[in-house]
Amino acid sequence: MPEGMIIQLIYKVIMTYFVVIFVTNLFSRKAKLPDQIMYAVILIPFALRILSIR
Amino acid sequence: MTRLKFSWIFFEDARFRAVILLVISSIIGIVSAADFLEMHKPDLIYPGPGVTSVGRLSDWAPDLAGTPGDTDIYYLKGSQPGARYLVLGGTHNDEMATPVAAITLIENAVVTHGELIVIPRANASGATYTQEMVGTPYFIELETPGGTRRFRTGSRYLNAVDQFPDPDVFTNVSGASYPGPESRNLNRVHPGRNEGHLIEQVSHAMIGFIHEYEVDILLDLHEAVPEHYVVNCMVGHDRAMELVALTLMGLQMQGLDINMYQSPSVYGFSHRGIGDNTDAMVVLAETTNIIQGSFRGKPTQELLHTGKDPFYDILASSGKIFVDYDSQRGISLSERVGRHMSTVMELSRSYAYFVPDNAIVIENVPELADLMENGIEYYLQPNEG
Repeated sequence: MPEGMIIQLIYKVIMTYFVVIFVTNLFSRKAKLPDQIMYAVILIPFALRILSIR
Repeated sequence: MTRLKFSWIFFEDARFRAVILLVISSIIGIVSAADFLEMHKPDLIYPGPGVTSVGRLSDWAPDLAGTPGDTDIYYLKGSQPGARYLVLGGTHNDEMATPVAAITLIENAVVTHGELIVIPRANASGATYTQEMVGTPYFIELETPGGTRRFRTGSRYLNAVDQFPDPDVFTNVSGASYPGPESRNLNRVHPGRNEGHLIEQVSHAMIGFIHEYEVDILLDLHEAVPEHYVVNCMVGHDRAMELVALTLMGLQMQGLDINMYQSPSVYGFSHRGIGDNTDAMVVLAETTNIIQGSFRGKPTQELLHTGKDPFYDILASSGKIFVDYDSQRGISLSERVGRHMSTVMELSRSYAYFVPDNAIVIENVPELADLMENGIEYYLQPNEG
């Protein structure tokens, strides 16, 4: 696997990890509305970033 | 009673709120992604009567096949033998007159002697995004007689998702140091390396193509900000300086305000990196693009079209820019493309003067005067719609 692809794969895994964390926090029983709004908003650029990496 | 119960669920049940918010962010994400991925669709180009074949850079460098660095090559071969002349557009995709000039050549030029080869997006990956924090419009739309033509504006760099990460400081093969993102700048990595990063592979493939296909002349089209001195000029490799000087005189006789420089001995630039490593006479041409300037106002489609920006009047009146500028007149896309078209043609005429046995003769190409009279839209093929 070329060096560039390994780096992109690692980056994709890290981004996916953050998306999982945000979605988990979003669905937390104790989460308050402002926190949930923050998690929902921050999900958008992270998801777009995963999409944009080949 | 039912309505009160709904409100209570919405505000008190965290999971219900999470589902609603996730749906909202998904909708925003999908809409944004569609916009974002639109730039990955190639520009529509209508090959004109002079185009004899279309290939890919990977035909000459199989390692590039299937990568975002691969790009189209248009061949316009004449019936009589002559020189091979390569024109590069879109080395820097935000220099919008360059892909538009290359596409205008593809759609209009007819070659009788020799062969014209055009690569409209030398840095194809750079056309798939616009530079962050600059706010450039994604596309430029041109109203042709047959409908709207749309071209991606793109970036001067390779798309960051295709070559990641950038170093803090980029030192090229010649030892010149630049800020990290310049490691994705095609015109800072020539002659490239086959085992290097993607942009270096593109450069290496291009040099392989120029060498194997025995290209005689290369013209790399560019645009620059008016506050930089390398503007409205040509830069030539040492072997091409006589050709550049004759071309300069021809262009000045047409009334163009144009200057010339000799290539510095620093690899990275096309005129040096390609010039030293192939037999081609390499020339780079620059026009002035106001929207790239750091002093400009809001970067809109209109500014991209007209180049009319009153902020630059302030710099012009205090002598801090290197071109004559008046925002009432502006520097339109038609004028910038026209300058490039005149340079393409004058360079071919000058080459024919020096090497009459191996001339390249190109016809049916609009030059500056034609473009100023009719506008660039007139010379682009109608849209299918």
